[in-house]
Amino acid sequence: MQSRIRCGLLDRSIFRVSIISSSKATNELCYIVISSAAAALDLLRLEAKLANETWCMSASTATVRSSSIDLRLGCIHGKTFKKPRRPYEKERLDAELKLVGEYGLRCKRELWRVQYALSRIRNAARELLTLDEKNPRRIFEGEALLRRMNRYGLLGEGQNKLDYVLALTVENFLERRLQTLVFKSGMAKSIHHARVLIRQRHIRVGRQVVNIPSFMVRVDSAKHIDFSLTSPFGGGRPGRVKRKNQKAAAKKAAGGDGDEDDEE
Amino acid sequence: MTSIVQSPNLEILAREPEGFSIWKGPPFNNGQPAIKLERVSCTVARFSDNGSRLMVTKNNSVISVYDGYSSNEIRSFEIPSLLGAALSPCGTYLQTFQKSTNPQDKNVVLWEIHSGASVYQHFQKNMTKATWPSIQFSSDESVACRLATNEIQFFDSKDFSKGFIYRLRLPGVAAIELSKAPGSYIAAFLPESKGIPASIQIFSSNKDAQTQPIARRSFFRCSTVTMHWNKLSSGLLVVAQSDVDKTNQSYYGESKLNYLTTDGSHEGLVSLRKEGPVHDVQWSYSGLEFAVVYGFMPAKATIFDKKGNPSLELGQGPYNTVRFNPKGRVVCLAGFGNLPGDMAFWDYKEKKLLGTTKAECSVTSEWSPDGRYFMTATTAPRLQIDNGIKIFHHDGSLYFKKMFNKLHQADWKPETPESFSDIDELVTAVNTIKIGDNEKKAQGSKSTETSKIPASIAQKPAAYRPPHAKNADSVKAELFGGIAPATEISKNALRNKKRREKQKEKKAAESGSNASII
Repeated sequence: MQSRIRCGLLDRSIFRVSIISSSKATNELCYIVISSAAAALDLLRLEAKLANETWCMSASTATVRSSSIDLRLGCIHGKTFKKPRRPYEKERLDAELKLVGEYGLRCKRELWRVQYALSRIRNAARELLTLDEKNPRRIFEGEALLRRMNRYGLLGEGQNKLDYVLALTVENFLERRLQTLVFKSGMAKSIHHARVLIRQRHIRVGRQVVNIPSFMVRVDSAKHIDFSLTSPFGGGRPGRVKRKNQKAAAKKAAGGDGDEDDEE
Repeated sequence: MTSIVQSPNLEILAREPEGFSIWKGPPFNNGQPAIKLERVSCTVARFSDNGSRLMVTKNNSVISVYDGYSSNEIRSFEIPSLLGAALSPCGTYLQTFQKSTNPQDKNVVLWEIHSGASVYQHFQKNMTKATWPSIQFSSDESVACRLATNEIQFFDSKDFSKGFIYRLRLPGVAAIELSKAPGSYIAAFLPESKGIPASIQIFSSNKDAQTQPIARRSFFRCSTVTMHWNKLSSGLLVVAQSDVDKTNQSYYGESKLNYLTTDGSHEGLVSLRKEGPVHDVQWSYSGLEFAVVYGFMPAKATIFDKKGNPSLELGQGPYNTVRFNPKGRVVCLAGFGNLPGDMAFWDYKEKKLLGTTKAECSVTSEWSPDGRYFMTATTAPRLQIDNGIKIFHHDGSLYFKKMFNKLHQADWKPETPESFSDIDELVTAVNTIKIGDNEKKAQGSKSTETSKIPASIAQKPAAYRPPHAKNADSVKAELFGGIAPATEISKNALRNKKRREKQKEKKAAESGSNASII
């Protein structure tokens, strides 16, 4: 049985080893704490003997090079935003500030992130539109793109053509964030309150508590946004501060003439 | 199928400044209603919910209760400094509210009409729309309850002298709504306070099942709430309104529609596809679907099924009211109030528009209990001129019209819709709607209204398009999903197209022959 070992050096003494066996699609991740690099080498040599693979080690750190190892763990990282070309253009600054205020974003980067995502989608649509109408790639990728846009509520039901994708704006994307939907559905007093509620784990989508204000909500999940069951707003027990105050009040009521020095 | 029991007659109550009178309802002989009860001077006149009793307030301190069928006076009560009165649904009890000066005075009194004795009294400081009537009954009077501070008190409706038999503690409760038929649930509204959101909770009316709410929904941004139970007590529609619109879209505030079911299948917002306030929401008489008119004008109207999914879109238009026909099948969309009064009658089983008409300056509108007539009235405190009653058929043609100098109120006498037979002519008429029907209707009616032919036969004059706009039109049609019109190609273009096709064929033939050679 061939098994591949993926290994990344997290720390001098902790190796993360994940073993993928090719016969089934299981992926086991185990953390092994090893005292010294030498012990690590022994472990790996043992595994290599079982797996018939060759390893080359260097003395100081156990960097393992082999054809089957994926060393990209921790290195997969692409840019998600693009800074604007002109830094101090008055109209752009005003427009961006208006959007940031209206949708309760934390910084300009959150807006640039959405703009970058939109520009990639528009480029894809534009490139597909230059292809011939019957081109299988245009049909396949075009349908996939339109399906994704419909699924996230960015395009309405009647708008099922690639040309409508070119007419999308940043506001369409910003309207589908969980933060705006929580506010619009009346579950928060203001857009900033919505962000606080989401971040403080009061909101769930379906059964999953979602902690991320920029969660893109799908159309069929939009009616399942509700307070989570463990949150005090949704029927759970009161929060830490309220419980403390209630305990103090109960104590005061019960032992009113007793000692109250430890009441701070 | 012969029915032995005669269906009850329809009756109309019309109240003018001098008093009220009851007319025999439609169908009218020779165009005028027969008067059943001559004018009796009064200030307030109202039927009980099942039509068996009529309560009349005369000159501010005497209340008379009449029998609904024979219009004879049953009992009269003398109540000084009376501010309000209400009948219970079956007509057994009468609640009155008197002005009170000190908390010792029990100013809300519950009288039993049959014996004339007062069975229960309590003190209530003031009377608002949400807190009157103080004692709420279910439709069959099996459950009676009252909202007190921080709790809901339940009574034994047969015997009020015991006081309340059990209570449900809800700190901060501001409004309750008992489900009418059957009275097995009660909905309570707790407004927002100090960071805790406002919430609607549904509890069971049984004492034993009252520890946990059956359903709850919390939301912020709400100051008042109107709750609508359906006939089977399985669903509750809640319109939550707030005076300030935090989304900055309207000066008049915002409103949201929530839907809660008692079996827990739906607990949340109804997804409305247009932004704007909820103008009107009504349950159908069967309790299985509801209609909502929503959005900034022109408003959209949609009928939803009991799961909260939209089942029929009734289009957009200047509408802000919706009324379901008690016998099912027909729904009337209307724009009363500040709108010009367009009315559209739809058959929502067949999904067909039956007719449209106009009833300007109407204030109230109601279907007759047998579902054959629709009465709109223009009444005095709201509009001081053009007071009158108009009665329409179920497809929008005018049947009867009467103007008054001043009219305060015009109501049907309530009856249960089951006591009337189904509308046979409606069933046949809907299936045979053609242009022929339109002509017949146009001959029969007197006043000016337009009855529209169903959309499949409607012909609109074609819009003029200048020659240079032809291109843009075809491009637009392609872009927006229409089929490119093949008939608009000019002669030259047609010739060029043929030439190009011939060249293509020639090239294909050549390449084919080349291939065969090679």
